[in-house]
Amino acid sequence: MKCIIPGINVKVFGRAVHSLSKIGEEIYFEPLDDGLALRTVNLSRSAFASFIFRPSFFSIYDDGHATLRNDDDVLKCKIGMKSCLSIFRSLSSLEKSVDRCKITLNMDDCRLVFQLFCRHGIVKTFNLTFIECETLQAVFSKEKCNNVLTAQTRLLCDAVTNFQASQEEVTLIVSKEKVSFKNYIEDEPDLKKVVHTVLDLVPEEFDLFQIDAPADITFCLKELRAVLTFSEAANMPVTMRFDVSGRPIAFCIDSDSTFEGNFLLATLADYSSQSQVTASSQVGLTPQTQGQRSKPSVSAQRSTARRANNGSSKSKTALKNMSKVSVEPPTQSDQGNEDRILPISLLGEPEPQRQDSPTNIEEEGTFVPGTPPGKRFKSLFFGMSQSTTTGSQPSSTQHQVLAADTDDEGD
Amino acid sequence: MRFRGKIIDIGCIQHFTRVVTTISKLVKSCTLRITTDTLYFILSERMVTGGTGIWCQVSQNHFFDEFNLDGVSAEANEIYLEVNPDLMVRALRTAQNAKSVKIKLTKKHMPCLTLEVELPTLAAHSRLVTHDVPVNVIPRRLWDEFEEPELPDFDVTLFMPCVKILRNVVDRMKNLSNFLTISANNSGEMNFGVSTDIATIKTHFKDVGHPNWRETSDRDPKEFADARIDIRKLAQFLVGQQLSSVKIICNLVHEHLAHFFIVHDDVSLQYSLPVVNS
Repeated sequence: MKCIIPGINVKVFGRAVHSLSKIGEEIYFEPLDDGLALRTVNLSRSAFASFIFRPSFFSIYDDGHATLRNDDDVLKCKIGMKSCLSIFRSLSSLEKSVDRCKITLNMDDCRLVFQLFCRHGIVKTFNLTFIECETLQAVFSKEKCNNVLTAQTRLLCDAVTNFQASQEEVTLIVSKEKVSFKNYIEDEPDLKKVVHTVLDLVPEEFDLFQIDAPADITFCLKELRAVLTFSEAANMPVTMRFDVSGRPIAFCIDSDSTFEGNFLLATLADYSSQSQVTASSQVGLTPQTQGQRSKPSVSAQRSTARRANNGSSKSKTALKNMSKVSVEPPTQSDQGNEDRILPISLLGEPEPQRQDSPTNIEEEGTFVPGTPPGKRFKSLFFGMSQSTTTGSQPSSTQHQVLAADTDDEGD
Repeated sequence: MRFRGKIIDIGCIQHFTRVVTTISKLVKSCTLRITTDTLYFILSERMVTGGTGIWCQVSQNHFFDEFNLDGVSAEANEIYLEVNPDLMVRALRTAQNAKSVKIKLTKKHMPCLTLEVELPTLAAHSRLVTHDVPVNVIPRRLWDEFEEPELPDFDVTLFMPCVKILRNVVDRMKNLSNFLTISANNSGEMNFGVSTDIATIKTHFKDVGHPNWRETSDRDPKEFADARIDIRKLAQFLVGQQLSSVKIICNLVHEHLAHFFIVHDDVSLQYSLPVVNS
């Protein structure tokens, strides 16, 4: 593998690394036929980000496939985020001094080599150790989303600045008439300490406004900020694709021919509207997973599994069935849950999954965070959904109260 | 009980933000008293809890373009709220280039001061941001606790020396001791000092201005009045206040009280610190 990034594109590449560094701790590196892919996933696997730099982004791009006998030999590796970030640390000086950046693979020493060719003949060489791994990929179909919004970065940045830096999650509420961003407040014991903030935007503010179904989705602000650090500097519009709560939201940045960035964030499952979600999340499954989750039987298996789970004698087969769909913690009350499928699993996986659920980690015993993913597809889970589950009672009441806006001041 | 006010002028929005920011640097929670012509930010600590006093008066018509108030009753046309000024500041900070800010008392999940910020956009429409800042309504029977403190007869009244310099001095002294002694006389001498077991440090200011603010007592102009106060609270005031960098009046009652006074057309702030005896 060998690629050379021309000087004017080094900053874009560096900024992509910066943006990824706000999400994950490792950067997955994969040369493809149609470009170089950089990907990352966060520790709780609730956020996935990928950039694909097309061959036209580079002055020379050789994915190394030609010299290999079969595709399996193609290098797929991951490197530590920190070491990669240190290469592109200072973007402003990169822009001024670097003429080109060459990325090669030194198979003999097992190093991924970054060379920055700077002014005055200075060459900075970074030899990074890597770990070979499988492709990191989230399965998400852009076409399956009911709702698509395209906005100028400026608009999203302006929207985000209205929230406190400490704000963890925001709720995006869309209808045909308007779009609102609202700060999401988890069970805060002292209501006196929380400011509720809502920002309303009219459809005209968006370049593309296509809302088929009203939705109310909650996701992490931190990762949205990561998206915006890239898009703001590149000054490119961001397209949001989403469905209903519990289904992931995708933020896409696309410069037609040279590169594209996709950020996939898990959203908080709305437990009250779960039954409606079930149907659509089934539809949204990719073909691979559809085969595994034979539709009607899944829920039955799941409910069996949960019962076994509650009796704290979980059989291995039950676990396997459960792990195809993401599992909620056993603390969840059982009533009315029997016939629904938790939509927080983004992707199916034919093998038993690593779960965020503590019971599963116990059962499988082998899960160490940060180990290379063994399989082609990985799940994204929303870590926070657990805390909401356990505290679902108070939070739902809180929502009711919030909904009733008895503003009697009368404008 | 209703309250609704609207600020349109950007200068007024920013100035109002500065006022609330100043208060927020001094205290975590205070009382906001709203009357038909004035807003008051009040803190009156009892002696046992520190005895700090804040009395900040904001004349409504300098800031608000619309101001509607229906108080508790016709004869007591006022509202007393317990507010967290810091939360208000955070909400107001998003309004630094707003077209207008509406502040109103609402009942949502709890009583709130709702700030509706109208933000400009490049196009014709505007964006609306709503912040619900939780507040407590103070019942009428407790209103007596928030009466304007009567000003005592001060022994010494002087302008403070340049705040920038004084801020640095006090910041350094803060590392040495918890208490600072201000001693001043009516002929323009002012000393700020700390003393510890091993050192005594004093900064002298000479020819400090004398405001013709009130009649001073027929005291010997050379006689010093001393006030030993909590240095942290003084530092907070000097660092956090955003209202004025000159013309802060310092009043002393010998071994009793230090009183700082900022007066503008539209805003006045009194900050009083009791003397701590060694």
